[in-house]
Amino acid sequence: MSEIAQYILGVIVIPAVIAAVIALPFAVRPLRERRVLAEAGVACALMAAFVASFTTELGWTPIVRQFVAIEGDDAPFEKWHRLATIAIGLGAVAWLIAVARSGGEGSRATVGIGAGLAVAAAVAMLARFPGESIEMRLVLGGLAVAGMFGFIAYARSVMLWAAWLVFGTLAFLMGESGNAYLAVMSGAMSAASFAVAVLLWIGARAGAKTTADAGAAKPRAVDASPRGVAAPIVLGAFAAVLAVSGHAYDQTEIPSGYWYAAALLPYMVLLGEIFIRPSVMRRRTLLAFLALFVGAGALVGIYAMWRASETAAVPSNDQEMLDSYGS
Amino acid sequence: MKHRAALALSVLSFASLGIASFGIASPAASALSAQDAPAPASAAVAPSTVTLDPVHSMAVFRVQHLGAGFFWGRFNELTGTVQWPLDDSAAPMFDVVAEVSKVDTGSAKLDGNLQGPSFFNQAEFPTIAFKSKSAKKLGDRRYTVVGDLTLRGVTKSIEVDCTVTGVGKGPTGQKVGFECVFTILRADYGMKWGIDAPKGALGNEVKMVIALEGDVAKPKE
Repeated sequence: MSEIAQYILGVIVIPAVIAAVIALPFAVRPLRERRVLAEAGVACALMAAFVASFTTELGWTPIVRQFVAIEGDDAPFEKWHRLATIAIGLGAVAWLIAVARSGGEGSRATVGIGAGLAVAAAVAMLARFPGESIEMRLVLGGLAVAGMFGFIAYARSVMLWAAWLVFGTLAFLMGESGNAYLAVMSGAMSAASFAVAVLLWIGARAGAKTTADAGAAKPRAVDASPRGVAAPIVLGAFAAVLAVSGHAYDQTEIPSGYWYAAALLPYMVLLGEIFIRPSVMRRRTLLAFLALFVGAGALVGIYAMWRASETAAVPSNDQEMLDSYGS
Repeated sequence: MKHRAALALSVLSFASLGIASFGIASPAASALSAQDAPAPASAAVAPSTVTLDPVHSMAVFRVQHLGAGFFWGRFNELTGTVQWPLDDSAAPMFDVVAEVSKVDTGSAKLDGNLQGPSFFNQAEFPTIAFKSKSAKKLGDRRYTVVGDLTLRGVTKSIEVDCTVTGVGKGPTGQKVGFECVFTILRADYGMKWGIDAPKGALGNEVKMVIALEGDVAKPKE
């Protein structure tokens, strides 16, 4: 196996497999029907993918160094290392949200809204990135809330597919901005989302078949995404913090709009619904997926055109020489 | 009595002068002699301050790509000062800064990669600095300079081979040139991408050649 294939295996594929293994009991069986566990388990699996990729690249020292001094460690804390700590925190928070919402029916909405706002505020306060300011923290908090809402309100039925495209687009932008580490870590998140989405789809088909085999008059539709808000909150918050970090470290000056649009891709489902005739709305899940896919493709396409125009605007070396010395 | 005291003082003076002349001072004193002294107090000419001219000062670096060719890049517009007596009676003392934003590989995309967190992390560590602490004379205008290199927030002591390449005259006054060469392991400074993963993408050993030219400060009138 080539060195590059080994590298991709270590930092993208294996973290995705780890996520899939963690998510398996929640996505297929036996815990799929335990919704409280399922939503937290899926969210936790995706955060584990980021942490696995991070530690494969850099080990545990950058995370441990944030809490205790390590003997012989002369490397400084780098702000983006906080992302791994946030991923671990969000993995734990997913369980807290799920458990808090498992109470009475009446309190679920309140807990969900409260948890979303609290997570957005916590992420905005704890995240570290170059050029951090009150304004940027407000932008991050707002982006996190908007991202969560996008996942909950529009991309719920295709949540993991949406995550696949959101983190995949962020990985692309990270790569374009020269951020190799965050490109592969976002890539690991994307690959993990894809793997868990496939598992959830398999789980949904298996669930529908079981219901039909049980002799139900009309087989109950089984969602291919876990219910609840823990996973959308975690995914929305993490996409936002990744987008803001990627933008803050970008030395190639990709406009902020691309970064924010990548985190807000779930809203493409809304646009898809507006522009497509109501008669095809029966296939809402497929439509949502297509809208997301088209949205991510359009974002990358617009970016490629923008980059091409930027490159064309820069004079060639020959032209620079002429300008310097006169023709 | 007064006469005897004066005689004793004279003998002691001659003795100390002799010891100093023939270099038979104590080992401790020898270790601190012209070899390693930061700037000998007995220099014939006081060190001049050479202010680096960014247009003619740069650092070029070399690293192996994919175990094959050597890839070269440079940092443009170095700034700082060098303290050096023009009669070469003492070693040059360097205080040089390179800005990561001035990295230049000839490819804007590669420059962006090097400025990102996987390599120099410009957003958090915008400068690379070298400050010399001591020096050992190797020959005429040639020195091994020991100093602290601060890169990516990590400071380590390194040895640099430095040569005073020349003293010339320009329209604005006297100019001095230096060339310094050293090699570092980039992993020592937390720059590990491409060494073990992906294995061998970029070498660990980085050779640096620093070309400096500066203006000698005019004496105050």
